[in-house]
Amino acid sequence: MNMLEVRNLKMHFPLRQGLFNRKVIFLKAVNDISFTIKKGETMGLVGESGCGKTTTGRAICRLYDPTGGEIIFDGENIAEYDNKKLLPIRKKMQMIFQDPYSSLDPRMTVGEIIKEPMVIQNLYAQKDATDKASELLSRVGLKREHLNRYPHEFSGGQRQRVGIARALAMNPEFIICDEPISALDVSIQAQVVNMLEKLSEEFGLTYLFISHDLSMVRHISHKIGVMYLGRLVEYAETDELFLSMLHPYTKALISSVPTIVNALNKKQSHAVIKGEVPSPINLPEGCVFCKRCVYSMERCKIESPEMKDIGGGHFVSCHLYS
Amino acid sequence: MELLNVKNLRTTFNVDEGRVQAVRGVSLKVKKGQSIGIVGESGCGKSVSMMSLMRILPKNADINAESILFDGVELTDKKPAYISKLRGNKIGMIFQDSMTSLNPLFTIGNQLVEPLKIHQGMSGSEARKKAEEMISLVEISNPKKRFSQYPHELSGGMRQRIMIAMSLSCNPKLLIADEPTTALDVTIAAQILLLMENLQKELGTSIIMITHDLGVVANMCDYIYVMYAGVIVEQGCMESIFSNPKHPYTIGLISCLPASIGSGKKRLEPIMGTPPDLIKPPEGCPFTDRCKRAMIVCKAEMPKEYDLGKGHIVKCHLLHPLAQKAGKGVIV
Repeated sequence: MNMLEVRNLKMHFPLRQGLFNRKVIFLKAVNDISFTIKKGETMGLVGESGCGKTTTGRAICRLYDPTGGEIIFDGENIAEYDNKKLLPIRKKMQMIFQDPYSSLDPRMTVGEIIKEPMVIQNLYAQKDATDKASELLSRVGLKREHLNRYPHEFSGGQRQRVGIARALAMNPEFIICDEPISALDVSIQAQVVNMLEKLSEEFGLTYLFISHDLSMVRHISHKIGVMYLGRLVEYAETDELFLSMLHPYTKALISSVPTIVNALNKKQSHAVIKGEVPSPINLPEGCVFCKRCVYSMERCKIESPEMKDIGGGHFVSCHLYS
Repeated sequence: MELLNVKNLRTTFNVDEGRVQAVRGVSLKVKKGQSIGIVGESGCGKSVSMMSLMRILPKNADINAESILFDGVELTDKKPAYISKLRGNKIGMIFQDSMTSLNPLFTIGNQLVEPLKIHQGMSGSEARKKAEEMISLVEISNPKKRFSQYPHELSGGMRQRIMIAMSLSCNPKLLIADEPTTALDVTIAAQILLLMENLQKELGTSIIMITHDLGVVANMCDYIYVMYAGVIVEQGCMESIFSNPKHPYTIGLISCLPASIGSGKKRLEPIMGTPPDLIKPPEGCPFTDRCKRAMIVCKAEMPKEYDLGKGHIVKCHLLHPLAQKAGKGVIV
């Protein structure tokens, strides 16, 4: 049973340039990506900054209006729903944000923050809402007396827990975690990841886990999508991806991470790829990665590769495998 | 031959709530051409201890040290003017956030030329030539064009390269790199680390690398200091720290990493709780409250340093011969 199916999702932002802003060009933040997430599954989305992973997450929960494509959530295509139709959907789909400092309103108490979505959705009476909020706080490892405190009284890890409690307030089925741990310290990261795993087991939650931390994504996800410049370049089950990664970008990304094991084995961990991510405004004609790719061929410069299933649900978009 | 020898450095900040004891007796040594790493979580005092050496802390900071010996010169009793001659000249520093540490109002060239003129007494044209050399040394193409560009015109990776160029331009003996790759993407971070490694081999600079990323220090540093709550809890060469960690905090940090438990779907082992408040730091070992193997003595008394040989030094009561006998029976 699919929780979410994304088909050819496109998110282009218009930018105005030139005299009197008459020239309109498009920043293609997300360009034609497709994937599915089954119920109870965790999908990781990795890539460098600016590759469109956050935009994908935000387009899926309809904080943006997608330029094209379908978002089939729980059997309904929500890509073109208006706000009114989205309200019941939002109850089932929640988001945890990257920065626990800016995603909580500093003028609301933790209790008010957690209760706000319940009030909007008319889920509980005021008194029950308070009970529910304190129950949620204990779920995420905070205490009832924290209800009346303000966000500035908490540490980063505690704030992220408040953000998670807020997302859980709706009893959602699907949570988009947008870099939920990247602002936290290593020891606190492990606490939050363990909690997310436990909650997913308890409530049968489905996650889209967006992160640039490959080792953490590998740990938490059932399958992983690798994004580069608005495109999904490779997509497979986690173990399959790490055992037989195919796309040159995936290989480069994984070997760029300095690890303790490599250091102890005296292995050079960085097989460095040259250059930087080009601007998504004037995308190259062919494969988006061809300028940095060591295997780049003539064909890569002209023709954009299609996403191909090379067996066992392992998708790759590269001319080397066609 | 030691380049830097710091003994018992203490830094406190006077704030409204009291005195924050950010660094509580840190001693470290850097040999010529060596690269050492200081790891720890945010707020453990790793950056503050380095900023204390450079004396670039705000006015409410109190810096005390038994001795700070740099290149044979005692720095503790030197006037600020003397230290400012060292900064950017003999000691270079790279900061975490390249966007805020470069001045947005001046061109790259202008900022690169400044230390050369001040410290090396170069003329304008000499400094410009050297600056362009430095830009190509850090593998940025078209140095002439870059010279007149502003920081906002460059990407994060390129700005960090400029920072490295700037800090190395006066041939410093010591380079302090404060989280140089934290703000960068993995592929760019790998490029920067490789660049630093190559430059170190070429120029023979000693490096102090401050980071929270254990993977980075493992690959870059020969000798590692682990800091917690203003104290160095464990130190040793890279191999002994990672293959034979002794302090529960070091062990905890390593087992927090998903890579440490392999690809199986086991749970991570987080360190529960949060670091102590440094306004009133605990009398005993600062890690007691979060330590799985804490004993009664840990709460009362700061452990002494136990030398395990080969420079592996651990500050933990568990290494006391009696603790081994007592086993796990006395957990608080």
